[in-house]
Amino acid sequence: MKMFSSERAHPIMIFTEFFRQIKGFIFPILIAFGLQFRSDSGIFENRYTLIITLSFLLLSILGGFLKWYFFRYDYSNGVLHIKSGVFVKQERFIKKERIQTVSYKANIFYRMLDLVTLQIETAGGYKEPEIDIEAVDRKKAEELREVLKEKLEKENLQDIVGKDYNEEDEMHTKDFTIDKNDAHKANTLKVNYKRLALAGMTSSGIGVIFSFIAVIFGQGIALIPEDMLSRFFRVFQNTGISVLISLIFMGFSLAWVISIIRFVFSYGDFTIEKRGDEILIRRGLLEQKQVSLKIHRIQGIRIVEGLIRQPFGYGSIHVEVAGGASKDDGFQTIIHPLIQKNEIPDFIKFITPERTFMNSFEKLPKRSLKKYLFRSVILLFPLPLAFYYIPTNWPWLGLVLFPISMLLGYMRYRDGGYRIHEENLIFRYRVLARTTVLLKRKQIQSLEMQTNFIQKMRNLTTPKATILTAMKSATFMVKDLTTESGEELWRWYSKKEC
Amino acid sequence: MEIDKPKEKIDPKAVTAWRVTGVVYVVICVMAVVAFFVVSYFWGPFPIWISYILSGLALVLGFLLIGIIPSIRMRYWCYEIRDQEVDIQYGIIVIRRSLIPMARIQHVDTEQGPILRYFKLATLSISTAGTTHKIPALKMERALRLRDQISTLARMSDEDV
Repeated sequence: MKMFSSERAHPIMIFTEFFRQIKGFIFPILIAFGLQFRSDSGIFENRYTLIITLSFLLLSILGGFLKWYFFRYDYSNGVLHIKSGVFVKQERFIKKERIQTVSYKANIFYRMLDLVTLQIETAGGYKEPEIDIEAVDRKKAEELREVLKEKLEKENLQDIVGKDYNEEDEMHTKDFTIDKNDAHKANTLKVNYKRLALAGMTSSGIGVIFSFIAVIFGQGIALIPEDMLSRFFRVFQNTGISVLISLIFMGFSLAWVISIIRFVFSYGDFTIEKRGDEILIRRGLLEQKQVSLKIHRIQGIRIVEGLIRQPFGYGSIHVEVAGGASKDDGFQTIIHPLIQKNEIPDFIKFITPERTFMNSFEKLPKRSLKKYLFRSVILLFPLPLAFYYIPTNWPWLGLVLFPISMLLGYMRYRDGGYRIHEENLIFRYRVLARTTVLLKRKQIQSLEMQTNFIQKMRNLTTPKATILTAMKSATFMVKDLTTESGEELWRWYSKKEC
Repeated sequence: MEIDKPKEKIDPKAVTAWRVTGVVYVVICVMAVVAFFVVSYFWGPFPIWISYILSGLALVLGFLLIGIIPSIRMRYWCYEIRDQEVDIQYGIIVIRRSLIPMARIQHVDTEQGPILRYFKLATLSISTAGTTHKIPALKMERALRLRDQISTLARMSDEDV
């Protein structure tokens, strides 16, 4: 049995810890500086600001050093042992059997020194299911991963799936090295930069960035001297709305560019590789991340075609995975950042051959259109009233939303549908983005038919299928299918002979 | 072809139990309304007509919770436990029908509050990995028997996960 004696991480960890701490402090420091500007004295003229800043820096370095100094890990006899903590000592013993996934992450410094952060996820237990081992030598990390996984593979497969464990898969795993190996080329898929840039351009992250810029801008106003500000507003008053529009436009373009850059950096070098029972996803330009997923843990596949992406025939593919999947960056597990419509069936086949993507659906009946339109505008009815009572320059604004919502309602109606194909159930619906969900009968935890009294009169029903995900569960539904469709679904899911 | 409704009904005593629960809710509401009335009458932060509206609402609520809803709820509640699955249907305005395969069931519990205990009833709660389903107000022995039955059936169909 392989042993790893008690070890410390590479000292570069101090550096990255330092940066992480700084990241936390950056806003208070900036605000302190901002106040300084406001009071019209030089940056470091005020002694307190200087002292505070310096002590922040010193504390960060010290914090980083202590964290590194007290962090130790070792592995023996199937137990991973991690010691950490400066004041509050923490020791964790993790049995190999409890480990669900082992993934890597490497920031720019680590990459230069060929180090990685090992991310270990354990099964169950909501209290810190994830443990990071920082700055481990890449080779050692690979060895450790292999050791941790040896048993993991077998146990997981036999206990959880009850499937015959395939010896061939094991062989595959063993001869794998993290270096790109030509032998695996056939099982590897890369997404080129043109595609990534396109994905960034059409990413919905742009909204978040835009609001971020707006906030920064709002904060920035505090830094501008008062007389300049008032002059600016005088200009603004004279030229009216056009300045505001151009400002928004500028902010939007900036958000767009940042969104593209961010996307390219976090998804750069996107590689998806299939090895036996597992898929490996590597991504990131500066900070590299590697996540591995067991195919049998995939509970559902979602194809999301955003409002901007869909007209160009693009979408992204996400997976819902049972148990701990990486929830990094608030992204769900994306297995393809931007895929062209006609590539989808092949890609799905590549990921899991037992699932099929179908492009023809059992559509919604005409009579449910009325319900879709009604739902799309019902929440807007208070708006004209509000605009009537609140004096504004644009009273028509309240009405503009109606046709837009109606259009969205119509699109929701047009796109809604389902398809049953052997053991596969495919739901298609739209909230904003058109979403197609591929489900398997055996993975649906329960099926519910929801029928309100209006639906009952019109012979409509809403089926809801619940599956297991990293965040406990997710329910997918298509609203207002015909009762007959509902019954078809019911019979497909039920085991009762009828 | 219509799909048959689940065959079994819940215990008729459930109606009484729900009515008692309704009484408890209404008593709490009435107390709140009286307090509001007293406060508005003596200190007058709100006009008095709000109190009238609130008492009206409490009355309607009481009528619904005690008089109407329990019996209708009873009429629509049905369930069926088959070898391979649990089939539940309930709801008044929105009818919900759920199907839970035995193979997905992770655990079965019975639960019982003071009111249900007085009537010797229990709620059966069926959990899958992602969802929880409840069959309310079954006769105590029946709930326990069903619990055992479901857990046995669930174990039996485990192999096909």
